[in-house]
Amino acid sequence: MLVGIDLGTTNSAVALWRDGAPQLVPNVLGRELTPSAVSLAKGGETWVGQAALDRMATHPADTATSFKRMMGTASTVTLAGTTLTPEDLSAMVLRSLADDVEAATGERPTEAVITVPAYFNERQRRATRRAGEIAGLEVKRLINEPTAAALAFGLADRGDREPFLVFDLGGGTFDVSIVEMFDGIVEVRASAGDNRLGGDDFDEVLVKLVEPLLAKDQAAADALARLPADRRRALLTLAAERTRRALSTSEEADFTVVAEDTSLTARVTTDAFEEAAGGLIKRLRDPVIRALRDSHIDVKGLSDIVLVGGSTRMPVVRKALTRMFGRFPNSTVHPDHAVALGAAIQAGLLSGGDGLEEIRITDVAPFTLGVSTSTRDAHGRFHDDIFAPIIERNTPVPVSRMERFVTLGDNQKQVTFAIYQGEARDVKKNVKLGELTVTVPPKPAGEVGVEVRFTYDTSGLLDVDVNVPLTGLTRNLVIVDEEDRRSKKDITESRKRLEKLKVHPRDEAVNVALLARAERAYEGFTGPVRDVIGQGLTEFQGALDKQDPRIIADARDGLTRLLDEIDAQSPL
Amino acid sequence: MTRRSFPWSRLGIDPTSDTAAIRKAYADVLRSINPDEDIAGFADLRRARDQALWLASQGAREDNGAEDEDEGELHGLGTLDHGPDLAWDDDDDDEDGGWDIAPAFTPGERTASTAPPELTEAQQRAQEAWDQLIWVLYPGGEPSDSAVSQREFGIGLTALGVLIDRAEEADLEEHDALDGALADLFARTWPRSAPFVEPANEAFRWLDESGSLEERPALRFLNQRLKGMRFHDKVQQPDHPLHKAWAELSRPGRAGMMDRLRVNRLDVHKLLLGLRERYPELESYLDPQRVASWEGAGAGTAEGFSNAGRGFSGSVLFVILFFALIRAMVALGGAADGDSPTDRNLPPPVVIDGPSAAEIDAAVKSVFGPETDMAAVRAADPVFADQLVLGIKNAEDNGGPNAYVRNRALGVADIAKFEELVALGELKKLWLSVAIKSPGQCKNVMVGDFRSLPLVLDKSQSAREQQLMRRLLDAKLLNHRSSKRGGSFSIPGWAIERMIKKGGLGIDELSAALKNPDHPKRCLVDLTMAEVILAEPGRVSADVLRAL
Repeated sequence: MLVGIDLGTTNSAVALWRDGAPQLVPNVLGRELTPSAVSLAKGGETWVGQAALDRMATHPADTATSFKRMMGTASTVTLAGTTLTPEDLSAMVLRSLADDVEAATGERPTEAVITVPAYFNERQRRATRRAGEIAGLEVKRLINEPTAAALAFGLADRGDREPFLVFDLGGGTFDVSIVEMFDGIVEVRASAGDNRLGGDDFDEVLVKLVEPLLAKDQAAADALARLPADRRRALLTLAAERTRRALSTSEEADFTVVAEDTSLTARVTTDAFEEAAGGLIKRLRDPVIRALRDSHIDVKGLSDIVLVGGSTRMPVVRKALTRMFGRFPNSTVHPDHAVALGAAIQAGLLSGGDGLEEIRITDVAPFTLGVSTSTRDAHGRFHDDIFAPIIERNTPVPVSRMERFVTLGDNQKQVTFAIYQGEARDVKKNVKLGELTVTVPPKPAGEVGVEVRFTYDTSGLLDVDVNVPLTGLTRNLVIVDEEDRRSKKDITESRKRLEKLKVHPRDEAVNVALLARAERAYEGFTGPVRDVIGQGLTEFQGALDKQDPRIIADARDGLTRLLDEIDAQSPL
Repeated sequence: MTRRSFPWSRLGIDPTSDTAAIRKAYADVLRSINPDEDIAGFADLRRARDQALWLASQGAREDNGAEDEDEGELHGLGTLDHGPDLAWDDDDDDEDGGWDIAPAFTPGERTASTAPPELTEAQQRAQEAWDQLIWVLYPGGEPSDSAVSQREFGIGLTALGVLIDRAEEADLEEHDALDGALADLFARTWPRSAPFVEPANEAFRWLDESGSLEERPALRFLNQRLKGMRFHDKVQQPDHPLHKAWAELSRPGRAGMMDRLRVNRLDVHKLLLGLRERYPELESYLDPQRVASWEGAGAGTAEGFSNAGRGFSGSVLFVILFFALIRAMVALGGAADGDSPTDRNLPPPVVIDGPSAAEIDAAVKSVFGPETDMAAVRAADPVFADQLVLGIKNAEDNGGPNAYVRNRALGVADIAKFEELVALGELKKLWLSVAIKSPGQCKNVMVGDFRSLPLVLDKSQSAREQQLMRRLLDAKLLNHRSSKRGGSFSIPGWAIERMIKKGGLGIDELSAALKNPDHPKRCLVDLTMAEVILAEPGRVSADVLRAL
């Protein structure tokens, strides 16, 4: 079975193409969104999703979130003594989503379409593919998130649409795509983005904003300062996220953290937040301008501004958008669901789903691809590391382009092509994807020509062909780098590592999640409220010990109601 | 079936201006192929569709006449449109090879255009601010290389603030237009615009674009200078790793033995190499003679400092030359050529504070005579004018403005033409004739150390010096930083004869003095030689004049 997965920075979701429409699959807690969080305990006990997120407050050192931001880097995370790569962590989320599909349909998914930010580079894309493989899913296609959202938006009524702009601000990444639709063809005209900008950055701004305010109460500030750094950080970040949400619906909100039984509060106004976030808001502008320029469309030519991604709920973002475009954005699509639904549509397209016969998607290469070259200037000096683009960014894919190069030295014996992706003139600032060397016949400089052909297909594979016409020698390379060479072995090892971890049986998952939630709430309150939660927790644990499903279900309902009530009353 | 030509043949329809029909045809063909298996066919199809749509739009254009010609015009900021680069998606101007600094702005043109009536209040304020900025950057309606005054700086900064606020409030198009217009204006008015670039960068994040393939030409120009200014600020700090090297190279005169022990040679070369590669315009802050003396010393041993031969090791060469690179180099605005240190667009950054204008004028007059003030120097040689301001600013280190300019004068020998060589020779003759009266001073003149040499000139000598200096200034030679020194030359026989006669020296004594700079008669020999040769300068080669 082929599923569509939105693997997000903050939340993930899975959807299927069924009965001529995309459908989201709820998780074990009955929710469509599964937080992209993983928590471990000594001995290999594992929590994924909401339960893991709740453990963030109580066990910050053993819990990981926002690991999507580390994809494509060599960094790792050690939770409760187990070292995990960002791919491993993502794989655990993917596996949990696959479990949900299996529970809902009775069939274990084996293949997936996974969404990635349009502005993910090749390394980040490859890491995402590996995560899928570690989770036991064959990744049939990586699709760009704004493209997926555009599919969900456009296929709602299947009408023709003049170019519209998809503005996708998620938890950790920011994408802009300009898309057009006609006669069932979904055509991405241009994409641009910033893969280091998202809701997390706004949280950080909020933390910086309140820190001096919190420090006004010396005793409380000292209590906060005495906390271990990771715990302080986790508490502040969680509080910032709550405050940010609260600011979406009111003019001011309280930023509250509880440290050592002391509650610290600072009031934040929308205006203050807006001013503090000014730098981030400015960064929203550049990708929009780039995408418009690349697609040769001006602002007035856009038929709609479609908002996707949870962070577009922030009024500060909407206000900036209204100013930028001189009109109100379109918020008809569900900002958290659209990407997963689009992934399911793509899955339906690949598997020949009903009702999709007429639909075709064409996308663009988000980055410029080229090789590193050297040259000698008029003074005979060498200039190395100059990026020579072969496929320009925002070229429709699939695409195949050839460039011709010549030798620079007399009797040069070989030529090495280092392949890069990026927009900087200096290759060192771009992402290196691989290297290819060919031998050439010794001749005076400039007399040996070498042809390099780049072929970039719709699934994002770059194929490099090098041809030396003088000798007829050809070399081919499907881009492979260090990471990929290791990857086969790695994937097996990763799987073994993850197999050792103990995931809670599905029928216990609800109870486990409720325990984590109650513990988080206990930590987050002081005084009588804390006592009430403590009592509820004890009762629930007692019920669990009795092992009678009926008693457990009753106790669970009771505790859930209690926590819901408390949540409804407090900003926490 | 009729025979159709491209693009209609690929789309399988008859020529039409109906865009919906074209798109439908495209969609139908696209559905019938698998792009991944037929990449060329897909590219062909896209081309056919785009071409057909273009043909259709041409047809529509003819039908509608010129009605929609105003479409691309910027609303509200009409008068910003004084440069060529404001058009929305016009980023192809790389093609013409480099950033043309010549001001396109002429006051006459601008007054002719009036603001459209529908300006909002905020836009009107922006308009006024823009006019003020123009007033500051083009004093008297003319391009200017001089630094802004404290007052002008204040006015300009306020105006820029208004424009930035406007840009923050404006929609994307107006923001973009303002961004482009300011970048354009500042690049054209550099270096006068220097103090405004950093605040504008903060608002428009210009440096983010630095180094990217699509960096706008105006920004490529400004960003490089912005980085240069930042480096200049940083290197002034004592904790900067290259601070010592910088301080050493800014000192006038040649480096002595002690300097060489005090300052790390590697740092000096690192600084010079880095500076020349990244911020060539900053080299004008350094003392050419000092630089030359360090470079002279390092040349023999400092392997690896020179760029030549780097990465070039005969048989295994991993470098290649991109055909299109030549094209790219042209398109990149001659990034390599246009930014060379001799480029006239590279005066040093502007100094805002320091000695007052009156103090500067007084110092300048003492060097070039009562008729020549700073404005006159600037008019004669803007590049040297900036150097001179710095020279005067550091007058105490330099031994006063006169000493500074004398030292600079010695540096012009290797590029000066006959007339100026004679003038320089006359200057040296003058200095030697004064110095010969007190022991030790002569040597200082010969090595160009005017700092420790308070030459006391009488009124007529002073006037003569000013006149000769003015000649070197007018020839735009004083901005030259060089230099080669020493070398051998042969003195013509007739000159030797006259020197012997005139100075009353024996031939043996003469040749001994010429060979040994510390010879007690050396000063007399030099002075005599100058007198003899300058009496008939046309009889000797330029090399001899140069070597005087």
